[in-house]
Amino acid sequence: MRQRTPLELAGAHPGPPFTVTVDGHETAALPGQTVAAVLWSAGITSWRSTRGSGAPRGVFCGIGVCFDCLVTVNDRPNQRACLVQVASGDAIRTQEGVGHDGLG
Amino acid sequence: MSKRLTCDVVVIGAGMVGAACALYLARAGLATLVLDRGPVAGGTTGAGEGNLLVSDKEPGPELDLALLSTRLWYDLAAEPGMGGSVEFEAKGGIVVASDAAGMAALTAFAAGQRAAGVEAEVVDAGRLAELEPHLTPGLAGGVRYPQDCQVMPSLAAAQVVRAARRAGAELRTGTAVTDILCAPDGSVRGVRTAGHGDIHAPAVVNAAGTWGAEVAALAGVTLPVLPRRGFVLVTEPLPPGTVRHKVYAADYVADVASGDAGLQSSAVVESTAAGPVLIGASRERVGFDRTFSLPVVRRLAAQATALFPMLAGVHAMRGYLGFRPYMPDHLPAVGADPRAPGLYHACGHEGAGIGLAVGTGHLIAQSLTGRRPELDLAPFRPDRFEEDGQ
Amino acid sequence: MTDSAEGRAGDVVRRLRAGGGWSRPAAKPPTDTAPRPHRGAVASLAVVGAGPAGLAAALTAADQGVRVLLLDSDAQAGGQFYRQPAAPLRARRPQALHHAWGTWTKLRDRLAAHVEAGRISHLADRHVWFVEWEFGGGGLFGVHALLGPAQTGSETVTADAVLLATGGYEKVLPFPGWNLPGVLTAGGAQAMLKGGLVLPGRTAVVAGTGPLLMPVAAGLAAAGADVAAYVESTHPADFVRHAATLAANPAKVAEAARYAAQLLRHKVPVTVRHTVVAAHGTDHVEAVTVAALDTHGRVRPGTERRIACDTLAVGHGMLAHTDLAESLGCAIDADGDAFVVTDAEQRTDVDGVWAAGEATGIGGAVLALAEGEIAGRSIAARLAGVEPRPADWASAARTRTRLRKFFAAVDVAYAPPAHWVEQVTDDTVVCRCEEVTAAEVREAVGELGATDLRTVKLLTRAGMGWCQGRVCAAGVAGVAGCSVGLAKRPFARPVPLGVLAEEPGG
Repeated sequence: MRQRTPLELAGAHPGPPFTVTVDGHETAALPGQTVAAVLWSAGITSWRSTRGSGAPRGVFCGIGVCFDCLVTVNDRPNQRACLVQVASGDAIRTQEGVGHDGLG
Repeated sequence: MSKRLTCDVVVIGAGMVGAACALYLARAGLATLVLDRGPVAGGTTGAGEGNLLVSDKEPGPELDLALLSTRLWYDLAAEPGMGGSVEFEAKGGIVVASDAAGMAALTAFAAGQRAAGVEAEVVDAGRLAELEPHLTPGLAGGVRYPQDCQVMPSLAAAQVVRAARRAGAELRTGTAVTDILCAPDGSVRGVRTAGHGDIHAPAVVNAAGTWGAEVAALAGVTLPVLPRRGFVLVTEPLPPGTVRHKVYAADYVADVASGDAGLQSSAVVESTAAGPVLIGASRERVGFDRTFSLPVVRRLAAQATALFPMLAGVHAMRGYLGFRPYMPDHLPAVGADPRAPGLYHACGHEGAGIGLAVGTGHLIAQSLTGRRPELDLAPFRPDRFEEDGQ
Repeated sequence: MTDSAEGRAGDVVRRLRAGGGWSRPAAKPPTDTAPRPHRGAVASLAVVGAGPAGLAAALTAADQGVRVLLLDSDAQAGGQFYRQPAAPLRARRPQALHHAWGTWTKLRDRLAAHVEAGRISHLADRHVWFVEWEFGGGGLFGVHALLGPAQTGSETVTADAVLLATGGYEKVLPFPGWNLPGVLTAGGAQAMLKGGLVLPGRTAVVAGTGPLLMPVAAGLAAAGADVAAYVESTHPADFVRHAATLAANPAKVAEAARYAAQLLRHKVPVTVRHTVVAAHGTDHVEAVTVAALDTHGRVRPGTERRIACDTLAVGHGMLAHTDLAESLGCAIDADGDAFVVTDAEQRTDVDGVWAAGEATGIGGAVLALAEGEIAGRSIAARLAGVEPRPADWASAARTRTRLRKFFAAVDVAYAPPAHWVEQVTDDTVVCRCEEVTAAEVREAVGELGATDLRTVKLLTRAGMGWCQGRVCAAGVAGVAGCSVGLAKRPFARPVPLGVLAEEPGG
């Protein structure tokens, strides 16, 4: 038996999907989804490495408190993936360390 | 259980100054006991930036103490395991001037410092941009002070206390001193503590920092140590090399020396070994008021972003405040108190205590062991504010 | 209306409070007798947070004629409890992921009516970072909020009174592997599911302790996840000892029974008096080890069992957001998990500042609604210069009394295993942001003279990172063997320096 999805459970009928890029790769997104939701839907659960040990991180608290899900969106580093809603054409980039590549 | 507790010297306060006193006293062979009512680094030490500066000091006794301390800090940082564990960075300081008049004043100030033994290199606008690539363009120039260094202040106090303990000192945190025991002739006999009884010692060092006046009062003497409030902002972590020196505007020097009670601020911007940039140096005389003042912090942010425009997009993650202990003439009290034989003071270093601590500890140890102090302690006499005839 | 409203508003004064933390200065004279400066005709209230407490307060106050500015960080009202699928997902059956939907639709409709009538301004996507007392010297509160998720700009609104309904977030105590991707808070899994209609993985273990876990497990299962285990460290029998409390709360019993039935329907294996001792994996969680607990809360050796999963949703209770209250100088009870202290009217001890909901102690949505209603009544009366009449909120007060008692029992029954610290190995990262290990915390205490959480932070950097210790404080304090105490976070959120540098309005 096919498992049902959360979208089906809630009877979602979102507008047409659009495309964002994740590290340059085109990825489908639904209107209203957060960056984290888009990444999860694409099977990606970590998108940042810590500045100390380089360990991978993704969503932890899911509500903007923990800052574990930091990601670079349209060249702005350290955005919380669980809060930021995607727009068509957004360039999402995984992030290493402090995220400020241009400084230093 | 009723064993009489004795030692050679009790140090009151486990901040940076108390830690340094304990280290040099223990290494001089004295049985040293450090007491603090709170934890290690619980007062001003834990609320500072960790400056070891010569750049902001004009020629005089404080600069002499700073130069001695700088030498001792380099020695200490070279001890095995010490430099890294206290995040010692010989990064150097840069003081910048925005216009030609400011540059002229700064150049003259630096010339005086050089005559007193400070390394100070005048740099033009082009060199400034090389030294600090993210500095705002259009500055007139600056002076580079290679001797300025930095430590992480809480780690410094904790690791120096640890080194003191290895040299035989003992630490008791959570132990408040409620009285200083004195003989009928006024000489010190030890301290009374809350919960840990009396501790007998022929010498007591007041290293209570901002609370030094209260400790002095326990021995029946007046020491005018007062709090000056300072805010520090801490940013999100940035890549190494974003800010390379301790950078501040020339008017900071005027603020430090100011007698004005109102708010002064001039951004002092510096990176830390851990990544965040510290933005410091508001100074206000408002007693022990712990209210977080948004207007003060806004001013610091405005000055910091004026110096480093790229900081505008960088987040302040937190801010903290501390109370810098100052005395009316902006010099610390260091040395024996003739009004209470056996009582020594090592407090009132204002915003420079982390740097000046080691020189202070060294001089206290020399005084206490009957050696001739390396610096003339007359300018730091604890009783210098007594009125004539008292 | 105009004249009388102005005159009556004069009764709201700001009392000063001395003491530690960021509290009001003792040095400034109290302003109790100072007349209030004249301003607009209708007294205004800023409500921070549009969850159950904030909504109830906003609606009640607006019913009484107060002009309400409702600031909330989300795009839609509802908070965590009534979190809705994002509007563009156009969900026809959002109630499938909720219970008490009827309560929500009533709140939603009342809010819409007040917004329509101009009595409530719903300021969505506002992330409040500081509430300033005596803003600009004018006797008003200044509420500073970053705009939108990007948070590059800030906006300041002013009001005569403030209600803090800042809610809560989940407490997670550290264990080896808790920093692996795929390990997330139970509330986080639920928020992503309710708001984004997405699942973190295919095979989930839901573990920890507290009343949130059961709805999370039921929700994940209903949405299509395979819930491989629901692991609760307490035992239902522990709660039955509070039989009288349960009998007084039949709705709560029915709610639990409903979730239990859902777990049964989805064939979720339920394991009680067990705990997760480690999560395993290299770049992602692949399995967890669970073990049985003895009656003292210690892991029973030899009972370890490995469960394969790609998701671990974990939680150990809830914590209150108290930052804004603390920086305003409100009294905080920090003997245990911190909360804002309020009186019978939901007033804090700083005049002009009320608080309700999870910020004043964890107690769920129904309690938050009751507290919000009481606060709204009190605020409306006091802004009008009238002594509030408790009879006006007698029903809400009864609910509050009953539920506070209930949640006090919940708090005791669902305490994390007493000896959880023993499972925290030296190499366990306890501060996620700064990657501080348990060994470093133990060294700060054992070797370096730290006796409190602040000094542990200063000596190890635990709690100095992006989250400012919100996530790790309880865990680090546990490992250090000290209490959490006051947080002293002046900013409720990180603020760009460029925003700080700009004076609002000028």
